[in-house]
Amino acid sequence: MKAILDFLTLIDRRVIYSVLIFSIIIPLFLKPSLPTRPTQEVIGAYNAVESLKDGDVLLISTDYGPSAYPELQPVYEVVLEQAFKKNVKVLLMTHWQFQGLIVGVSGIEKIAKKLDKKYGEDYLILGFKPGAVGVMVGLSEDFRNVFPNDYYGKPIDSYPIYKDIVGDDDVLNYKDIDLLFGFEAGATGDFWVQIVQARYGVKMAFSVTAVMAPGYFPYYQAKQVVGIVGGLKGAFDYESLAKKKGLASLIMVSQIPAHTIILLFILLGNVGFIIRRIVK
Amino acid sequence: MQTQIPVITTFISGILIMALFFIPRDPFTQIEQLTTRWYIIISGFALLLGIDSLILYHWRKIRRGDKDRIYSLILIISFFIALIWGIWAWYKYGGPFVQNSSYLWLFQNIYLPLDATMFSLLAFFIASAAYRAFRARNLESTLLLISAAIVMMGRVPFGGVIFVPFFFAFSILTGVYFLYIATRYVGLGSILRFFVGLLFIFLGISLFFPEFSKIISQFIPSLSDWIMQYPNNAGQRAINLGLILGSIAFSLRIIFGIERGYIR
Repeated sequence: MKAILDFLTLIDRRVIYSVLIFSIIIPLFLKPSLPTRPTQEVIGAYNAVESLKDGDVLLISTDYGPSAYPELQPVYEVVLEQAFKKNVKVLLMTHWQFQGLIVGVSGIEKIAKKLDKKYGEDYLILGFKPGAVGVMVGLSEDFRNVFPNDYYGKPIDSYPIYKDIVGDDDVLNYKDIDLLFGFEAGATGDFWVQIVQARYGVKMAFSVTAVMAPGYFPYYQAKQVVGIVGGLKGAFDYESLAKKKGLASLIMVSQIPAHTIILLFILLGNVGFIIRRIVK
Repeated sequence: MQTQIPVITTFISGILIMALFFIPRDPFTQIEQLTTRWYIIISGFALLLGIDSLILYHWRKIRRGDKDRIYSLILIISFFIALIWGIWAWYKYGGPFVQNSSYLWLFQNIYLPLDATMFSLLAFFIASAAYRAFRARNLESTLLLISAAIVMMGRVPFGGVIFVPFFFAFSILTGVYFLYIATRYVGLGSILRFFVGLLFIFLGISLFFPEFSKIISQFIPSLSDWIMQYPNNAGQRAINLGLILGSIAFSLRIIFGIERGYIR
């Protein structure tokens, strides 16, 4: 009896790791087609991008790095495709230094090349500036205060896209932004809501990592954000709404056995724990 | 003087920034834009300060001959390779992350997998930690366990179907446990535990009926959404309010010079 209880309650962590790794890897080769039921938050984010019209301006903030790549990059690429297909002007910036730049720049260049969009006419990479909250407040007056030059070092007002976006006042600020889509793996998402949405009323949606998603639900319920795409499940839902089979659809397959295995180990541990308490 | 000047500067800056935030009129908006630019510039210097302290920290470890100095050496070498390579890529391709840049290759093939691997390891640690820590020790931890299981399975396709056998096993187990511990209590405590045990066993047995198990499996995703939208939101709001009130209190202590830890 003791041996059985020990087996149930003291499983070696290497056994857990091994079972988990196989449960993640094997399904990747199966590539089944999975059903999904997108949540209201994801539908809200999708509809916000879908509702943009020709000439509208989408500000994207890629505040994440490679660690959040599998959860956020699929949504980022689908959002870009949606926007470019509708001839929406896209502005890209980041608060995440080189990490946000690499995922942001490589993603937008890949999709722009695919859809034959031109830099400076259809999209503009503003780049990175340190100071998160300071940057957000600075953008409220004039984007040129914070980003006088773009990522390639040329003045942002020298591009045709700038002239297309700004009105007669020749100033680019939050009034010109029709939607802000934040891809967040840190605290900057909260700042976007608390500073930019609360003070300037900018319409915004977010794609966030699974661990951060619960923290964003109060913003959604308070209608401060129009949509949240949370974690891999959210990314998978977003791809299914856009009728695309991208990275999220591919790796979602692994999440089913991974969650099941974790739950199975928890159950085994509890079986041993409860029997041990009864036996005592 | 060494303490008075920073405290006075902090007081004036703190009060001014608060006033700027709540008065969106000129000249306050102009002053806000000016202070914002200062803030961005200072943040830039903070980055340099961070690099300086990182390099110095690891350089000292190498000079002292610490046991794990090899990692410090790798860090410093990697730092300078990345720096020099980045500058060179800027010169040659017009930017380190533009298409076809060799620096982009470095990031996509070395940094990206390394960073993703580090983060992925969390899944294994979480699995191991969940197995060890998630125990139905009392009613609160049992509720946490059940809600965590519902959210986990509600977030994957077919989660509802997979959840049913788990729910059956857990219900029977918890039911038996509650019936057993009911014998250790007297009066109302015993009656309560007896009925909770019966309820769990009833739930478990009811899953033998296909109609009921079908309802449960279809209900799980909606229940997962409900947990996220209501109990989760209530908890998050409470945490946020606590955090914000704490931040305000701490900020006021700094502004009024009660908290002076930043001077040391």
